[in-house]
Amino acid sequence: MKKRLLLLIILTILAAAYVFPVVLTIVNSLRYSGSAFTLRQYGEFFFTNHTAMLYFWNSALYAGAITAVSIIVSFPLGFLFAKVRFRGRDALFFVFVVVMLLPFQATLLPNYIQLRDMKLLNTPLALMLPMMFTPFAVFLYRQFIAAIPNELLEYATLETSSVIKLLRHVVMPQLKAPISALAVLIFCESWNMVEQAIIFASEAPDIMPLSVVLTRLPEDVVFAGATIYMYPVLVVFLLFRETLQKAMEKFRW
Amino acid sequence: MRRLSYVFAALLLLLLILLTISGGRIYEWITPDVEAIRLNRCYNKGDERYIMIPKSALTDDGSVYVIASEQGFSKQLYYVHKKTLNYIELPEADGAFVYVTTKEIASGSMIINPVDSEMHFEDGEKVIIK
Repeated sequence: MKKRLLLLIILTILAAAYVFPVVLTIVNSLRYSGSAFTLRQYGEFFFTNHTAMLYFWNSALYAGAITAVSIIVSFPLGFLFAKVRFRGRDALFFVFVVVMLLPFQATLLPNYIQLRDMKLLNTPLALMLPMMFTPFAVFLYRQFIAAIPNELLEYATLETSSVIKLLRHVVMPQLKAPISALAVLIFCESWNMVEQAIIFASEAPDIMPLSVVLTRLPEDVVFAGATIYMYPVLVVFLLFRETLQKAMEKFRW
Repeated sequence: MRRLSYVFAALLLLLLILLTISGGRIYEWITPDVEAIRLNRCYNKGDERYIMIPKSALTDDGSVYVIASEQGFSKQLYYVHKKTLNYIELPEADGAFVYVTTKEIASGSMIINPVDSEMHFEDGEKVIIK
C-alpha cells in the first residue's frame, strides 16, 4: 500500500512537471500589467496585434496540408513494405529507418540545395514539401499494416484483383484508428515547425508559421499568443484522444 | 462529452476566424481617434527659443496631450501622455499661441489639437490619428 502511494506521488509530480508550463502559460495569459484575471491580453493580441492571426492560419495551412499529403502518400509505401514481397525490400526499409533516425540537421543541407535548385526557397512549398514525404509515416504505416492478417488479404484477392480496391475496401477500414493517431502525430510535429521556416523561408517573413512569430510578439501579449498557439493541438488531442489510445494499444509500434 | 468538445472546438474556431477578419477593424472601433499636429513653429526672443503651441491644444488645466509613437507588431501605435507646461504668453507675438521653452517640450513633438473640454485620456492610452 505504501509502495503504491509512493508511486502515485512520484507519478503525480512527474505529470505536474509536464503540465506545469501549459498551466503557467494559460494563467499568465489571464494577467495584464499586474492585474489578474483579465482578458485584456487577448484583446491586445487580437485587436492591437491583429496580424498575428495571419501567421496562425499559415501554421494551420502548413500543418493541414502536410498531414493530408503524408497520410495519403505514405499509405501505399507502408503497404509495400509490410505486405509485398520483392528483392531488397528489407534493405530498402532499413534505408527508410536510417533516414527516419537522422536528425533534421543532417538532412538540412541536401533539402536546402534541392529546394534552391527547384526555386522553391521562401515559398510555402519550401516549408511543406520536406515534411510531406516523411519516412516516419511510412514506418508507422508498415507497423500498422503488418498487424493485418495475411489471410484477410488473401481472401480479399479472391474477390478483386484491383490493388486500389484492396487498399480502399480491405486495408483502409482496418486502419481507421491508426490513421487518426498518425494524423495527430504528424499534425503536431508540423504545427511545431521552427527550424524549417527559419532556414527555408528566411527572406519571406509573411509566410512564417506562428511558432516562429511567437517570439517576435510584444512581451505583454506573448502568453495570450502562446495559448492561442496551443489551442489546435489541444483540440486535436482532445478530439482524438480515444482513437490515439486505441491505436497504441492495438498495434505494435 | 465528445459532442460538447466538437461544439466547443467549432465555436472557438469560428471565433478565431471572425477575430482574424475583423481584429483590425475592432481596434479602430474601440480606440479613440484624435487630430494631431507636430510642433514645428518656433519663436525666437533674444537668446531664448520658444515652441509655439496653439491655445486650442491646451486642456482646462493648461496641459497638453503629447503623443508618443512606437512601431507595433501590426501597425504604428500612438500613445497619449498628459504633460503640464509652464507656458507664457508673449504680448508682442501671435495671440492664438502660448509659448514654452524647448526645455519643456521638444520641437517636432506631436500633440493632440484641438482638445475639447470633454476629452480625457489615461496616461499611456492608445489613440488613432485621423
